[in-house]
Amino acid sequence: MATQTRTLIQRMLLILALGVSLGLLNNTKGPDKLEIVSGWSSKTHVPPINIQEARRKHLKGILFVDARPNSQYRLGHIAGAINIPADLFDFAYKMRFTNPRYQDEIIVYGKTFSRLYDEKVCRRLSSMGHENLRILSTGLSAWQAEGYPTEP
Amino acid sequence: MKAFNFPKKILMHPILAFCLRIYLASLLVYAAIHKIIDPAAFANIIAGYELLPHWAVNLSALTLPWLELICGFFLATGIFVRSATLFLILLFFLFTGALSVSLLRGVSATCGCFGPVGDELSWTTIIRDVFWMLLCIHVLKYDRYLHVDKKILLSDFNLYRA
Repeated sequence: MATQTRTLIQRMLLILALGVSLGLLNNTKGPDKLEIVSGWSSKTHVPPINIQEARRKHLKGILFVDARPNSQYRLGHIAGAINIPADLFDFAYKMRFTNPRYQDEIIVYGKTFSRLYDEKVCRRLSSMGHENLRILSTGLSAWQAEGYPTEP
Repeated sequence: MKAFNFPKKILMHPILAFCLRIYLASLLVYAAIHKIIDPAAFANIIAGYELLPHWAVNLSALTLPWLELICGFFLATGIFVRSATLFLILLFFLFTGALSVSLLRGVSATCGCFGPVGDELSWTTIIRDVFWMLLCIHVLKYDRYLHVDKKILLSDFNLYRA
């Protein structure tokens, strides 16, 4: 019985090892390679901004960009923030930035438990020529916890 | 009394278990291929559940479909059937748990069972996963046809005895 259980566990581990190996091997080829561990190799160099400073900038009318998917944006976002989802960046950027002013300050937020949307959008904005970027890495939850204005 | 035994006999018959095994195998291969073709879309679905930390999302999207494919392949070919079935029971248990937690939290997402295009997350998808898990338990308990590894081991044993 103990031998049978051991064999069963060994074979299950073999299935696990095969699955992981083939999955990673398959990701080495093709144009749509995924970053295996998200946020590991591609750290952004955009400076962070704390929540109080972000609020001061918000009062001054600085542009806030929500990097999360539109479905999450529609449920609630920082008042006045525009939505540029990380996965639809090119389309949303063309829609929102009809006349981009590259020197204007932009604060990007959108970090969730499962995705670093903010870093992805910051990298894309940097590549488009925007230099004055800041990341509100505490995300929307900290903003809401402080009781700062949100929409809708 | 015999009349009552008849459906029970059918339900516990190894041929039924074998048919369910083949059904599960084809289901898994079909589900896995859709996710393997577009891992980025599958990763987005996983991220939408907000259950895994960001560093584990892509890794899961890359490996989970391959685990399903391997289990499906093993079930179809009769290799390591018991281990693959047990592995699937664990997977379905995890999926059901994840879907239930997300539904209770009010997450609005596609279930992701068959890749990016799929049913909206609902109690029906959870019942469906539980049903598949029950089929796996049936296969684990009653299936004994065309187990290739068992045959090889048996022939080894016979050779050893001879």
